Amino acid sequence: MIIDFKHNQSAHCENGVISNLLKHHNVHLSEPMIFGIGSGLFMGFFPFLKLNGIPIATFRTSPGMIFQRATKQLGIKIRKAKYRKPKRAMDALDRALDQGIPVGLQIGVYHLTYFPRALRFHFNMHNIVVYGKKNGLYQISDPVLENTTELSYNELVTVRYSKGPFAPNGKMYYPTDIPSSFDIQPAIRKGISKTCKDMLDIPVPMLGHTGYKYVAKRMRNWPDKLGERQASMWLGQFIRMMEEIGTGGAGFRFIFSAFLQEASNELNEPWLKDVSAEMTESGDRLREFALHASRICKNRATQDVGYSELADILVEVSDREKAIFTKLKALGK
Amino acid sequence: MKKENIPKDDWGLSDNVSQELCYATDADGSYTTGLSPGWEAKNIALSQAWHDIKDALVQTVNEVEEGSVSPLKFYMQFNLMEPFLLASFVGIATWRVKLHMKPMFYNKMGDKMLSKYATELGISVDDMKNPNHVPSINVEEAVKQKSGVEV
Repeated sequence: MIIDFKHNQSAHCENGVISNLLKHHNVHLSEPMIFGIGSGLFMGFFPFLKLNGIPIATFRTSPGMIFQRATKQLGIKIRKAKYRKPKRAMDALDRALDQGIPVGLQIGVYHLTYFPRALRFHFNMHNIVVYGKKNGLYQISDPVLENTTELSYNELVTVRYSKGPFAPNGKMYYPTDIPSSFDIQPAIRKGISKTCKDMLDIPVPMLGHTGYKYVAKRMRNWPDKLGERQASMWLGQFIRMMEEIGTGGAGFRFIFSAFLQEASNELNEPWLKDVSAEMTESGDRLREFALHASRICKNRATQDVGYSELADILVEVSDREKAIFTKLKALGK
Repeated sequence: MKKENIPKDDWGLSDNVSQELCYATDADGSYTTGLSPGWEAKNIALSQAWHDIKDALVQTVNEVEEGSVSPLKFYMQFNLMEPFLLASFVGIATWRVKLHMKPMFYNKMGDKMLSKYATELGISVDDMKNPNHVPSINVEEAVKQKSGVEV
């Protein structure tokens, strides 16, 4: 059976799944709205947490948080479950589908057969919606793809039980209880105010707007400390964290700007449009950063823009975002 | 980012699966969306990642030929895994994977253990037993097949 489910493409999988699932239940909130209410924007650098021996950087809140925060702000109840045994996980999925409920799943992308081969890394925080079963094939709405697709039983089991950091363990979720009417304005205010706290008030130098400066300071020393080759690998991974896993550092800034424009209309606060434009500029600077950085990686030095110029961009972004969130803080009061 | 600046750098890395959705501003500054087939910065970072994987694999083939590590290291790296990750896929302790990466312990493995590895690593038990299998692999070609990226 196939549930009448409308697939909309999104820039980021987590927002997209929530937005699509809610639209199915007649709650029409855009992807940027979910991202804003769920306080998705963040910046963090973790020198002690390493992937392939290289520190991890992030430009968004930790996976699952957007979902948790957005549904909480909106008063939506969610049923979430993980299963030790794959058979039970698949049975639970089948039961939900039989009841006509589209189901969100957390999966790993390494074994994801429909994904572009170049992107199949061991990344476990991808989200999709299953909305039916036809001829034994599960009907998949992957929000980052233009069109829907299909997976067999075994393919789905494999991706639901991928291993490694953030292993999904068959996690599935769907909204159970949706209030008949929403007060969107307080949710928006709370979302913004939480993002401000995350970006301004965490007293740890690696997190929030100070995180950029923290990386910048270290990045200037990478070529001396690590050597040209190693430094370019670190930079390469930094861009991949930024751009490939998920939507990209700049991409998230643009989604947030789109959210601020919507919020401006909803709250009737015209000045938010100006802040949105400032955030767009911050995103544009991050795009410049990624482009220069990738060219350094490619040519391994011999560029007019070097590591310290890159670091300067990050410092600038840090100052810009500090100013932006200091202004936005006024909304929460 | 303005809508007309949405990157259109298609390097064929997406296997024609889909374009990406991007948020960008239109002429009057309001946000809208558009599709991008790829972007230079991302493409370079991705290609470089696969390039580094290939370099590491070439080195491992040499080590296998020398006899300083077992073929398991090659199969593991080819699946972009580290001992910890492979261990959690197979369901054994990390130190056992590390032992099996030494030729002496690799050669002592029984069929049952080999087939567990073979399933998770996408190879056959016969290939795992064949000492000439890894040295005969054309790494460049294999990585290209796997990733769709010129390395």
